[in-house]
Amino acid sequence: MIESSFIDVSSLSYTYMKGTPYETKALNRVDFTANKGEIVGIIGPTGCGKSTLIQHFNGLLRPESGKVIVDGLDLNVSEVNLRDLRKKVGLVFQYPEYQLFEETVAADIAFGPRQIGFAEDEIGIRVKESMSLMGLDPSMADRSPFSLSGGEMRRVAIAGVLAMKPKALVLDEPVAGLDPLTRKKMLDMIVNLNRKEKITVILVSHSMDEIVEIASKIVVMNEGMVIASGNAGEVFSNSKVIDSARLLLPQCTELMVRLSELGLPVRHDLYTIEACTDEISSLFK
Amino acid sequence: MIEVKNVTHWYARNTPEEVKAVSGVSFNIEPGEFVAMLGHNGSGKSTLSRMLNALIFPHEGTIKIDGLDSCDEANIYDIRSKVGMVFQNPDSQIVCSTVEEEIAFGPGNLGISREEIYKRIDEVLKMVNMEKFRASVPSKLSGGQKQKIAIASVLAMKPAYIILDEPTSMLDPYGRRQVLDALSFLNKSIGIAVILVTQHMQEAFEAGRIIVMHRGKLVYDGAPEKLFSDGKKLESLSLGMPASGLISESLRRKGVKIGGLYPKLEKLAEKIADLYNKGGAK
Repeated sequence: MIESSFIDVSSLSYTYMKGTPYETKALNRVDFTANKGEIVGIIGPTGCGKSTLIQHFNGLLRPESGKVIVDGLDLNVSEVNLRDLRKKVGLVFQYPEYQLFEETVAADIAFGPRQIGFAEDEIGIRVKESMSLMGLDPSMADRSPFSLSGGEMRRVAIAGVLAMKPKALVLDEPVAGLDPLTRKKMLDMIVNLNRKEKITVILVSHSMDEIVEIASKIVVMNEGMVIASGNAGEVFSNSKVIDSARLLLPQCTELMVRLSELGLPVRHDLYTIEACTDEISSLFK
Repeated sequence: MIEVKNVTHWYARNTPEEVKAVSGVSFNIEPGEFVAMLGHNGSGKSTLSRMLNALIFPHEGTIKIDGLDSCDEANIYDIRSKVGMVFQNPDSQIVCSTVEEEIAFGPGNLGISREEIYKRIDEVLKMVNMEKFRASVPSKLSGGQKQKIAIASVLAMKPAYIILDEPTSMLDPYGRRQVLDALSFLNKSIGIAVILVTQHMQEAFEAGRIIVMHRGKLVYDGAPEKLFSDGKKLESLSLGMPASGLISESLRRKGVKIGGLYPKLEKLAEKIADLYNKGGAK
């Protein structure tokens, strides 16, 4: 187990504005593991510490107490090379399209690798590769990012992070504000990055339905603590966890609960549409 | 009544980057209606909704709010007090350091008396079920609570219409529910017309009527049930089914004869139970 973990957090605490009247404890002895090649979903109410936690993964925040180890790098050591770390872990903020600033799509995607000091021909290759990974047509390279649609702009922003060739991608609400079709395409692309490029994915989301469809492990946070972690069954079968973090069940699970309340002999420990409709249709066979 | 007649709006008009954001759109909204506005990213929803309270103006066509033409500068303040606007991110709209001051800000600017303002603060906090937070600091509230305060501050101007541009996209499921419940109460019990711009298909069912924008044009104006019964059309408009619709589709593919569309989970559950009890099962 230990050798396959990519991010290992133990007993991590973090306090904002420490020593002032506005002091807020954002993380309280958090344990978290993301294994290589996993898709981990982090859920929990607004203000529960999700964003504070993920900012530790690429060294934007440094551990106040507790341990953070990323791909063998110990982030507690003050001389840790942040440049190395940020090549390993790409962080995509909420609404990353607001961070686009260059004149062309290609220049924006090239910004990261250029800062690191790669040769121009290497940068050119990386820009092409990242665009193709995000399904952006090569003809877009010379366009202004601001002439693109919201979904395209977001893909350009993520392509800029992929151009650093990270081993792990951390995404904070990557589909918030996108229309349903664009949302679906974006989730498919994220799953593809994981399957084909073997990129470890950590995903923060408010949509239980989307999380259960793509994540292999779900971590629930509330009030700065991890209150549950495991597969969908382990997390959503615990009504205490659901109530205290004010989560909703995935809609298909909610349906199964209602059906069994109506007296139908169905399981309600099912979390994907496929599994739920299999169970329901078996009633009629 | 809000009357939108043949409205067109360009960005960067007469430049090489010219974009026609809204193109020849017409519709009316009656007082007391609840309308959801859907459409892909960049379809013109936000441009259109900003024209409804005179933040931006039609280049062609007219918009009238209770008879007031939005292109006549003399009407702008009257229009903005009739049509309230709530944006996606409450943090970009909240400016004061307590909830009470925040709500007093709008009416204070209109020169309304102190007694009347105090009365309105009580009223609007009650409407969004936030009475307990009168003295709170907005930045200490949750996302859903902040959004309800943003709504309350707009309500303090006593609008007849309130437009919300994706007000729940940054909220967690609980915050989202709180905001939707508040909107439903304002519409049903107070009679305020609600125009909800959203990317969440389930939210659209809160409305009696749906307007769909696609590439600047209005392409659907009607009941939610009709729109959501056509999966192919939805996809061509970059829209999707709410979860219950996806479940119904999957059931149909697996041979369960559930028939029509059940946007609400309760109804879908009842239908399945009904089929089962009628002996569809062996």
